[in-house]
Amino acid sequence: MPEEKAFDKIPLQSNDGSIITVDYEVAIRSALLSTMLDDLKSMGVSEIGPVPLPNVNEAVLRKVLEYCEYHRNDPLTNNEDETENRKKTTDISEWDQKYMQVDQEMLFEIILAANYMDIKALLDVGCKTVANMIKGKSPEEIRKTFNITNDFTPEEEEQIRRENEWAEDR
Amino acid sequence: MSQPGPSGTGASSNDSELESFRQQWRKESSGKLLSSGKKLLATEFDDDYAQPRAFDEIVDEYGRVLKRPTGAGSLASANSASASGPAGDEVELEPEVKTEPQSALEHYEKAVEKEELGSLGDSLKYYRKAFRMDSAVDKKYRNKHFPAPPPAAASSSAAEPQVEGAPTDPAAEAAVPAKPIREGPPPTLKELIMSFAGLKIEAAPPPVEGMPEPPCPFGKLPDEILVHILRDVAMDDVGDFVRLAHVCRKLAFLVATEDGIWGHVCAGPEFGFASMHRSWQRSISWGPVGDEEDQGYTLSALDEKPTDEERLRQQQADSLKTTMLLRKGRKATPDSAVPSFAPVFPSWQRMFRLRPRIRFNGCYISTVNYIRAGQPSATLVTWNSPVHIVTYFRYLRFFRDGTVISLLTTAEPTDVIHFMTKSHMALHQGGAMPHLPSAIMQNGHRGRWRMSGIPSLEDEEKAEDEEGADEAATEGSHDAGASKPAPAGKGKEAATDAAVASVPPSPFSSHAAAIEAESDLVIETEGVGKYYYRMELGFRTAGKGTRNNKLNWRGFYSYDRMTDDWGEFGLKNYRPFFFSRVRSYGTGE
Repeated sequence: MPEEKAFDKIPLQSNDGSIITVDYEVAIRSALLSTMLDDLKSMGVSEIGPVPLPNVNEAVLRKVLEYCEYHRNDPLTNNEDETENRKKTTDISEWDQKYMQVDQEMLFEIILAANYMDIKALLDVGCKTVANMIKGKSPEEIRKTFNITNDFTPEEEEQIRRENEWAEDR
Repeated sequence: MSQPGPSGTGASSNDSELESFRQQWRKESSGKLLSSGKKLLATEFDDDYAQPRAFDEIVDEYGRVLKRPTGAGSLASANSASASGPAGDEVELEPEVKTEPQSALEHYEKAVEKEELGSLGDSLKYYRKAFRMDSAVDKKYRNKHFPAPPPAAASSSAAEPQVEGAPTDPAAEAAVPAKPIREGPPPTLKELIMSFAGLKIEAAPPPVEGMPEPPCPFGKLPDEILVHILRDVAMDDVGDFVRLAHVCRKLAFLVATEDGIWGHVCAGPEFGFASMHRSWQRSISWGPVGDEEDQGYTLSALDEKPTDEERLRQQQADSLKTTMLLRKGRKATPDSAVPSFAPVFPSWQRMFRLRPRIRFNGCYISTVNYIRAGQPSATLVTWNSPVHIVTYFRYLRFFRDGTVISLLTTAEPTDVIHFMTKSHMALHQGGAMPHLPSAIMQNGHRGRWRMSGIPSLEDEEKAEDEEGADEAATEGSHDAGASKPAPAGKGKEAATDAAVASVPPSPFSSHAAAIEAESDLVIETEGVGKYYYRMELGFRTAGKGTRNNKLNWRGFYSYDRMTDDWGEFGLKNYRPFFFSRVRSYGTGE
């Protein structure tokens, strides 16, 4: 991690044209931005124009930045160790839970944005939230929850069911 | 020997069964309906019990509520509890049948259910009634619950090549009868799954035609994120993860092909093999290991020992190493004498399914049921001697920290399983709070468990010495009594461990061998007074799908702390433990 900040304020541009300016600490929650800013700095760039984020619209970007703002002082974790730690901390913090209380479309947009902007912690929380929505539901309930079509033929469904019987620990 | 003996002596109504059989026989031979006079005759013999006979009801009115023998004060808890009908309101253990059975098949099902519960008396009634209504009911039952596989499936599975790296060992082949389940009729499962590749999750059609499709954001996620979500689901509940395969083709494809998720599950502590302790983690009374009352550890001895944390980390590293070796196999390096071998398990999924493991999200129950002849009453004129149907239960709940609760009781699962927690154990220690329903836990015994393991390859040579020293340290002088009635204590085990390490069929040679090497489970619990109990169990499989969900008895011993004596309990009426999921435990502790 760089010792001094590369830049003070970073303007970010969503795909619908609005520009949101954030602090450096907030921006580098995103590994995508962090890498980019490091590169710019090493190239000797001192002034920075709006950074386009073509995959993210304004509403989602604001929401994502809200997360980054709240977690701006968290230690930045190394991506490699992360998988180990993540397994153990399966619970979602209270603030994060509240943060994730959004409609399904927004939830998935956040996950996609977190994936694109490479904000691992947010991606983890998002996936965990979806996992919790799946937990304990029957296949039919899951289809209902997420509007998924059952595209199996009855024979296929039966075959899959037989194959997986063993895992239903009863 | 003060082993808590079978205490549930249900003085069941066996004598009256004979009675009713006689009635029935008369009825059938004479072709007449049961007369009230005969009923009177029947009850005459049972004056002493003075109870309405359930069997009369059975003969008289089909499909009606059975009145259980009431007022039989001599009935011990187990049977009377079961006789008083579905007692609990928990559903996960026994699916409640609130409605009374109507058809013969329903009666038969009810009888099977009662039999599983251990209420032989009730079960008999239902069986009898079912057969009376339809003499071929057993065939119907079999057709409904165990339909014969289509002949095509059998032949195709035999002819087809195995899905995964086929075990070369014929013994291994025999040990895996699950193969036919994996291979369905054509198209094979593998082909089926492969045909799902590249599909998308489709949105559900709108509820009213012409309306815009409801959004299906799930379908927009790239695979990498889906896999991420699936992994989160799997770490929480493997059953949920596998059930996702039934949602749609895309998810079926991912569940079947993303073996990395199974890798996480296998290596993780929740369900995986990181929590399968191969050595004692605790003392019998749940203190730190080595804290036994009869050992007298000095401070200096403690100083030399690595801290618990270091030890745990070392063990987890070893466990992970073994796990990786089993999955990845090993390539010989020029400077190593250890031979190379192929992966024992062809996939993580196979390993998770086949390798012995303790389940923490439920408890293991052994239902013991036997009939004991009683003495006829000297003062009473009867035709027959009473028969006691004895029912009692053994419960085991395991915890990830290497501890276990063991409970022997006549109370039924629904009255017990939810109280099998450490907090209830603490609450009722020494018989405190006897008025609470959870007071049953005052009879619970604290204990610890460990499984047999595969010695790591590098340590093979020194393993024997170390094991020996280790055992001596943790087990005190138990070994001294090698000539005692139960030398099967530590000595035997050290021997088997060593044998596994040196004798040719290495655990890494086939998965049957690997499973065999890990299939022992030893539990040591507190006992009555000065005794410790030691149960030796083995992992076995019950049912057609799930594996290692059954624990067979291998031996049961008591150890007298005062005199350092081993004693052996006979295993006459012991029944295996079967696993039951208990939802209230979550993923377990």
